Amino acid sequence: MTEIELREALREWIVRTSGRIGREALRDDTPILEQRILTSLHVLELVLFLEQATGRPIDVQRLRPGVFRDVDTICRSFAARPPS
Amino acid sequence: MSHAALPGRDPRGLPGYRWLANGQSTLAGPLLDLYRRLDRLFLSWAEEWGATEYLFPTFLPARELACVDYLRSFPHLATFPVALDPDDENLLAFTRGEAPDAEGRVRLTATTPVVDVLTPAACYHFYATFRGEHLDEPRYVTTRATCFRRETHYAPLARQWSFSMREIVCLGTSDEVKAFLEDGRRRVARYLEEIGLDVAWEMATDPFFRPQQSPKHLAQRLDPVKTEMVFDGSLAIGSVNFHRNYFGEAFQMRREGRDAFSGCIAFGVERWLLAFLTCFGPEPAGWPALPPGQV
Repeated sequence: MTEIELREALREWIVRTSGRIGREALRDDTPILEQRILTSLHVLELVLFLEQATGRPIDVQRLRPGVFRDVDTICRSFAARPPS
Repeated sequence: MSHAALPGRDPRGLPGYRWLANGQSTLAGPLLDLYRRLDRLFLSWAEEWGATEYLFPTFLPARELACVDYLRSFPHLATFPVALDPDDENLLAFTRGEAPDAEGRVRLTATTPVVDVLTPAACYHFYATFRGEHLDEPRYVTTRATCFRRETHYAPLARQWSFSMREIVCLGTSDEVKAFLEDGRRRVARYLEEIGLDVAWEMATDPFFRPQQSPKHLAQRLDPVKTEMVFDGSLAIGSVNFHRNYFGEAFQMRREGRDAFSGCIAFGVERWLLAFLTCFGPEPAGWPALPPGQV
């Protein structure tokens, strides 16, 4: 999945899972945990979503603070890098 | 900083200090005066925001904590007030027992249902008090409460079953609360620098039950909301906490049409006392200037 595809799928997943924000209101820099658009109970679901979307396992113990800050940060961190 | 002033960070033996094996301290004389002056210092910071002071009772109804899932998140820390069932036969049966036994244990007969919890953190009282309120401006409040946290071990002034916590709390919009917390951190850091108390600001998480299995712990680790004031590498003497709108949502507190945000600056009074004694020594002449202690 490219970064553009991941971004689109992630936005859709957040809006559907959260139920607290509309598609238009969710910007790519909206702080989704700080604003509690996603709560702590959604964090593991987000990990599962990203594992399925990227096809790669995620070791939660190695996740860094701030990695789920917003759509931009998540996509930069988890999208597949194009071959150089 | 002279750590030789209080070897091993152990206040036992200081005039006016008595350590109780059940994780509690008795203070008198200069130590009590320092305790009061420290709290007066925290209160003077609270006054700079115009914070209203509250004095709360010791118990909190368990149902108030249920809406923030406290007892499932921190069951290992909770302490409950318990009383004997007032039935005359039950009380008579109790009086016929050995209370306490040779090991100090009181064997209870029938008890009344437990519906309260001893205050685990000072600021919970505010959310229960302001439940359902719509705020038309940011609200600044403060309280000092005796808090109770069951631990696996205790240490004089450093880790106690009951201890004093002063909190300054802001309820408002996200921006109002963040500005309060930044201002508070700056204010405290400036004071610590002025007096030469060596404190590092470190990100931390709350002490959740089974943290490896706790989604709340994972969320706090990934989006830190707690910064501790750590003295001498290991003693957290206070913290700055951003709750987001967690309490606003749980207690239906609203600000500008949305769930209110909240944050608090918390000071562990006994731990500040220990940091002062460790850094400046037990002699009052060595302590930095503090406001008079009329609290």
